[in-house]
Amino acid sequence: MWQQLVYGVVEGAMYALIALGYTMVYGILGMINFAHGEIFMVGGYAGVLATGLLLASGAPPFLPLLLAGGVLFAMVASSAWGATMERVAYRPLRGSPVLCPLIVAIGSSFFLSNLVMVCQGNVRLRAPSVARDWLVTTRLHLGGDVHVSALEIAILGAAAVMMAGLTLFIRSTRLGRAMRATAQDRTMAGLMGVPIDRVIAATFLIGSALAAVAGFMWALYNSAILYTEGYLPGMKAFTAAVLGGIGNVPGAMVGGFLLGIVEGLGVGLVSSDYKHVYAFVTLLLVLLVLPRGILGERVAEKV
Amino acid sequence: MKGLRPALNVLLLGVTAAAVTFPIASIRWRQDRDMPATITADALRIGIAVCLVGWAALGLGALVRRLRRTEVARAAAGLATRPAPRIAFLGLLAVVLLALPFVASRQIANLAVETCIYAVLALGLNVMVGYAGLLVLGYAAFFAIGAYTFALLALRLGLGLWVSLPAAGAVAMLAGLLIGLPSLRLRGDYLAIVTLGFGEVVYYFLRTEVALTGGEFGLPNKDLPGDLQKHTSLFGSGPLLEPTQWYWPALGLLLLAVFVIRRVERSRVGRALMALREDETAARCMGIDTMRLKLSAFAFAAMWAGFAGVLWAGKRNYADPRSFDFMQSIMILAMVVLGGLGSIPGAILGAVLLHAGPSLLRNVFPGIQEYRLLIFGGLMVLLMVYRPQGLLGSARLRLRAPPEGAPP
Repeated sequence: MWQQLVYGVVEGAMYALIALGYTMVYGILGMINFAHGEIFMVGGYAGVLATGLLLASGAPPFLPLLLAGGVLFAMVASSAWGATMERVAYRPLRGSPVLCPLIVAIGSSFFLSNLVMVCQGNVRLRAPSVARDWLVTTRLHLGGDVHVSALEIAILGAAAVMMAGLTLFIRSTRLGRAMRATAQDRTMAGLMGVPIDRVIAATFLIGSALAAVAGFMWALYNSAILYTEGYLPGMKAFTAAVLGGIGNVPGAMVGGFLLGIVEGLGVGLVSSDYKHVYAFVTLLLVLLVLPRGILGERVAEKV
Repeated sequence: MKGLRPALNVLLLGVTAAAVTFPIASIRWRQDRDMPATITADALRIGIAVCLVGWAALGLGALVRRLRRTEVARAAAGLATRPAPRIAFLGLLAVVLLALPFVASRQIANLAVETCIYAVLALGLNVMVGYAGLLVLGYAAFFAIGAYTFALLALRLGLGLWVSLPAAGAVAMLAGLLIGLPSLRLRGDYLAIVTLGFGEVVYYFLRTEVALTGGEFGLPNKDLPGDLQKHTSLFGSGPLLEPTQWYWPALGLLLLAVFVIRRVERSRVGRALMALREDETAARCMGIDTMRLKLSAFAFAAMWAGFAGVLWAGKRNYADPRSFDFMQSIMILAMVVLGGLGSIPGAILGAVLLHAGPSLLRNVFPGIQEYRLLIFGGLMVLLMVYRPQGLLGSARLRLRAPPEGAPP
């Protein structure tokens, strides 16, 4: 059971990274970016393909180099998709009824996952063993049967660094302040001279980059990635974002970890048959008590 | 220079497409053949293709604009708004619908039956999303409940369609009330995610509870053998086996759904639903019991999915969880939104386009199979960007400003 808890925390870290993208976009645009799971999946593919290119180009099989190359390339690839999607599909629809961006998101998500299928084939893309073996076999024993692999520590560490970085960024940079202002009141922020379009594009860039890192982690952690694998993690990450209170950045982190832990405990204590159900049941129970999520603001009804 | 602007924009789009697709389109890594990763020129080709398609579209657009200015086009537009063509269109539609089972191949009849079932689903979901403005993302769950209710009743108790249809409707209604109750406090996106969760829970329940539902194998299976279609006699005509035989029940259900939902739309309840959509607080101030109304909307919409589920399981002679995953819910929602929110013909058109469209596309262009969903996703995006109100929908506009001469 404790081992399952470890798995849960690690998966939770990845959910949290994806959830940040959902929650940032929601906070600023008030829309659910359903294609975010696909952005995450593209990140996984791009990361693995980049390590493949590095290996093929005769670069030394030096682990940090491979990982850094994969992460960087994944971030660039996913951010490019995120920003393009925003520019081509979401921006023309700003201000139209909520359901339109939703359908566009679903369409883009079809498009993206099938593009990957057409280009990369209907087979799982395996993460190269050079980039993975040492990380998985090096283990730290925590007593009993419980152990943590170097990969798990790396995932948790990277996630922590990225979350801390994002928090600092939002709190103390000019662009971060612009983002907060836009989330609070887009029209007012625009009148105050905040370049709204650029802020929104930046939000998509950053959210996609975070998801890309999670995607590369996912590919390494599960040893491979497939074009359909954006959906379920994406859905769960969205659940995590709602759980924490959508639109709320610390909430997404809390929600992600909570979801991972609940899943781990559920698998460890009850059964793994319902692994994918625990997330949604938790959400239902939490929303019954706190209809706006754990850290969501209590907004007074505007009449 | 000004005339070049669109062409330059398309070029920019092509360059972007090449750059963006580079990571996944241009890096090939055939791991199965132990080949190292290589870079191909595929992204470049995609970019060029986007440019060509874009320029073609620009040219076509200019042509259409020029044609529209001619006298003939104006006369045609004037003709289309008169009632006579409308009657002619309905007549033609009736003839096609009546003749279809006699002339169509088995495959086309099958497609027609499925499209009718999807149209019923789209109409039902339209009540919730289009009229009441409640975004529901787990509608396939009710569909599944209908299908499994019929399968279990037929296999375990040997009951036929006449019992199963109302029973499935009732069970689906109960499920609608069940999920509607906790949803009453939630608004907008929170409601969406909770219903999505409900759909997923039902889906995994069906896959996991092997003793009751046969798990992934569905019903009937080797532990619960049987033949669903043995129990599908409707008017003493014997069991319905062929798609052409299913056509009439499916079309009948669709017509019933159109009739009933149209009556509801124009009733007190329908107006109350739309008031709920426009402004919940204001609706409550006008004395509308929003709790009861929301619950009724949930139950009513779920009921149609239950009916549709019975026909689905009966036609396929089989009920398995794969037909009821999240993608299914999304497809039904896409039918409603693409056709036009709150529009009955729109929902039906959406079902025809989204269900029959891809299959027909595959038949006409066999080579397209692999690219089918890619094209489909792209078209969905384009359609929404250029026509956000859906193909036939303008529910909000109609509510705000009735056209001249419209019935009160």
